[in-house]
Amino acid sequence: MLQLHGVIPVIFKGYALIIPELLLIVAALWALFSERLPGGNRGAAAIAAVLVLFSGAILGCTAMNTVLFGSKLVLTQDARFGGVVLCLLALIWLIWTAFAGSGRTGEATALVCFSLAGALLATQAGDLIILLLALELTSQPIYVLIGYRHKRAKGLEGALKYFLLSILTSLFLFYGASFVLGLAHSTSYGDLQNLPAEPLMVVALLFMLIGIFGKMSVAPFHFWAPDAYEGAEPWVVAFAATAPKIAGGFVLVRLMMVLYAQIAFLRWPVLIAAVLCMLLGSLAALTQKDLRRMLAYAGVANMGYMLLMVGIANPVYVAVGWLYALFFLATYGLPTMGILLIAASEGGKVSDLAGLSHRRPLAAACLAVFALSLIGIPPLVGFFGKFFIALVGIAGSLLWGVILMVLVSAISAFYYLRLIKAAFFDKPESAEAGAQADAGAQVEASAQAALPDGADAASEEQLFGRLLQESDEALALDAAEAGQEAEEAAVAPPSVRVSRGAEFAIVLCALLVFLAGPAAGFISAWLSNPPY
Amino acid sequence: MLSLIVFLPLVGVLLITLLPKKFEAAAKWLALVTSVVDFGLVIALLTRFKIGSAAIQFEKEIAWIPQVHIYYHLGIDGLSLPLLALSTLLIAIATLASWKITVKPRLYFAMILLLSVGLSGVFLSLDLVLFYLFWEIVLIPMYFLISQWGGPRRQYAAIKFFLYTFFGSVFMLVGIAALFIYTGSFDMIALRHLTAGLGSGAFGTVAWWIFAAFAIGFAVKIPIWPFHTWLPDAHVEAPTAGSALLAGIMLKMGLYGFLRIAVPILPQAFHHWQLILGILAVVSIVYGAAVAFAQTDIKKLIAYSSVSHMGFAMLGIAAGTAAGFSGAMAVSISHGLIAAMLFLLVGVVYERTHTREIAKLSGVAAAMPRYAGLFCFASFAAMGVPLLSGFVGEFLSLLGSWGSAALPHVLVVIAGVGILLGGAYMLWLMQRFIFGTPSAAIEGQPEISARELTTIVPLAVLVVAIGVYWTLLLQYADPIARMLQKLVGA
Repeated sequence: MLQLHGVIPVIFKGYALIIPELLLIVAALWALFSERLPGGNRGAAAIAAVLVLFSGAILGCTAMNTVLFGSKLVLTQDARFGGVVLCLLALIWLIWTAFAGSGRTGEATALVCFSLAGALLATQAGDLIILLLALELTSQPIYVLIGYRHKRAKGLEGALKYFLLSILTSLFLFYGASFVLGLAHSTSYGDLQNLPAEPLMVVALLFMLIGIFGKMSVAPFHFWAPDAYEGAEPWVVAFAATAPKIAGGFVLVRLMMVLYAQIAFLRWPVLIAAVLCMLLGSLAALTQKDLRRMLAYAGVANMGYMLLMVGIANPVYVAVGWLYALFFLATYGLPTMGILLIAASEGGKVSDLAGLSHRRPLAAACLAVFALSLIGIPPLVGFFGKFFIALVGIAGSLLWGVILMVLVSAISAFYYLRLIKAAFFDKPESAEAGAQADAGAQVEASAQAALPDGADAASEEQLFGRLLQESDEALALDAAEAGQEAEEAAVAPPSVRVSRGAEFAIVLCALLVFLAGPAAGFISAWLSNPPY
Repeated sequence: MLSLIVFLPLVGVLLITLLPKKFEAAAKWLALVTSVVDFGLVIALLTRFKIGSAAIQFEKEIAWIPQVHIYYHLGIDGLSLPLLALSTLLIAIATLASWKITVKPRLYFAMILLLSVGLSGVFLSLDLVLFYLFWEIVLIPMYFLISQWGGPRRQYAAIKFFLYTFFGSVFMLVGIAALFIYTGSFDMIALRHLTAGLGSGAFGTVAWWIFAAFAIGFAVKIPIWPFHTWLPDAHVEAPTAGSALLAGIMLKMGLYGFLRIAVPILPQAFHHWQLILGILAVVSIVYGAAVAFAQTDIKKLIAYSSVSHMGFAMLGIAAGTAAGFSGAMAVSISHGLIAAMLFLLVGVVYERTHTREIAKLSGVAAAMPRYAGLFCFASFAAMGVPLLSGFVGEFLSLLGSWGSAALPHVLVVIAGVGILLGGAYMLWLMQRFIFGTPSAAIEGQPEISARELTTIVPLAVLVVAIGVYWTLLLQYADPIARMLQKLVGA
């Protein structure tokens, strides 16, 4: 593949950069009209999958530092890596949708393609205006996706919440960018490297940082994520919880690369956010009964690990820190996507996974791989993500951060193990539980099932009792929700049989998680070609 | 050769996974054949091993992630060879002991074999990252073994086991990373010279902390008081083969870690830690023995006795003398044989009666005389009766710590009292469990079967062989112990 770098630019010149986006727009348009086209909804997803595959391949084979439109778009090494990762994620999502999507998925496919196009542009942007537009293109389709099943009140609530908060963070981003424009008299990244050192610039960059943090759901700007994800369906969350976040992370790293030489103070807000992320994210995730909420908080904790690398001060290790931050984003995205796609056929609660190993042994094995990778067990790719962070963190004099990270990882093992426990060892609740009219009873049952060990875990219960109490309010909300879901279940029963294609998508994801670990050296070598 | 030993069981795992559900009963045969062949390979290795040298043999090194100097680096010496032999033997025996597993046999035997990959890997890797990789791999099959085939509180025990040991090992990971930052190497052997080159000035404090990070990781695994609380739960709830493997070989991973990594790589820091480790070891000895007295569950009693015995090994390490190191290695092996034997024997009765309450199991001697004889033999071995292997290690440990400049003699005296306590609770156990009037649960139970005998007799033979002819074990341990003594400069 590396030898092909020369070939693609010869054929397409700099336009190789824009071809993936064009392919994606073709895919999105096809999907929008899929009802009238051969193949229907699923065909559209299949076509989109093929086009995304091509997009990723083209990005992977395009030479580094290819420039388009006078450096409005630049394919730096990190952008190339980010593009390939994002395309892989979307590919897995589209394969799953092509085989297992039920109902109207055409629009969802179109929205994902638009969002992915935005994410690719955002990672390649060499100009603030392009960046802002690309980020909007990334997140606006997600508003619609979150509220995709518009008859669910909770989904609409989540979508509205996400919409308002996302707009707010966008405003921060735009506001900060306007100051930057005023100070630098330019929006090009190249000119940002010479920003004047003024108090106003501090404000401007902080505003931009807050905007990006909001997009990445970094604490303390993460509150929208659990509600929004809980309202959405797992197959939607699978995309919404991974691609936009990863794009946000790449943008953050890219901006830090541009600005770091001038503004070393930016590392402090980043480090504070990292600590908040790790603590708030992992502690909140401990008590969640809803898989989507849990993964939302776990995602916050994972962003914290990644931010540690962005906040490195030691100039020797800054560049390699960025590198491993990006690598870590990839190791976070793949397993999260996999878990949510498994849940997509099962249900959004942790307890819905019960008995998975009987129903779908292959998927259960994959779930174990994903959860263990997120915990950081070698030789899965998640281990290398964290290990590289630990190495560079200690070298870059962030020992305290690394120790916090490993402690938080140990805590995280608890809630990731709950997934394995549910999938392998819990007995599934009776099939009718979903249709029970008595919503209260159902909530009670699921609460019991999701507790660590039922009666045995007296000590754990005491330990986390306080936290559990705090989530009681959420339970009360659940009670109202459960009734609604029960009605819905009567209308459209969830598909019981899962097609082989869906399992294929999940196994593909698990294989990537499994094989990318031992190949971490190759990936990091590929990634560490000098960025500029 | 070494790679084959490590990864042969993985082939077994693959074959078992591909086994259709119709033939799932064949899984145990596949596992048995794989594990016996694996053990055969180790025997072949044993014959070609050059005795009397502390050098690494059969070394194999391939670049894996050269960007950060991570190598696939295997090798074997007198420290790892006996442990490797023990682990492959116990895996084969555990497979045979699990013959009656009918719930999800494919997953079960795949997990046993995966455990074998992890264990062999831990004892053979000479690269810290590779070592950590195998160290963590061991967790996963054991987690599954406990939480699927364990006792009534298995979920709790499994999660506790996983979280405790994971908590310990993440500190070890920080230690590994810190060592790399200071030396630029993950090579366990090269690190011995590299850290020596750093001197004891500024690096001294850092080394103290790195040693602390490793010590937490290893102490949780051994386990040393106060990190032992996962052990009784895990041992009691694990299925018979799981308990035997936990006590027999997994606890030794921690001791091995001290002897292979912490002590030789950070000898200066070790000096500062000797007294602390010695005190913790003696507390473990006495505490484990005292708590064992109070147990009514036979498995729990043996579990706490493990804490006590591991204390002797730790005491030997803390002594920092050649005799102490030899003693620690001898305790590792002999406790591995004896504890596995005891857990297998308890499993035999549990399979028949489905209870582990000592009160309900009195008078085994009347119903199962041959079994009772074996149990008494194993108990005497555990007590440290001379001419059985238990004596060798504990004697050497005490000898080594008496001769150590770093440990006050009072510690050794207290540890000696621990031996007395050990004799007392085992005798009391025998009196209640083996003798007395036969209880309802025991009455009319069939005698120990030929298959069960096959799992225990090899261990018993080794216990006698090592006990009578110490050289059998010490010929491997001694050069290493002397080399370690030279490194720590005691």
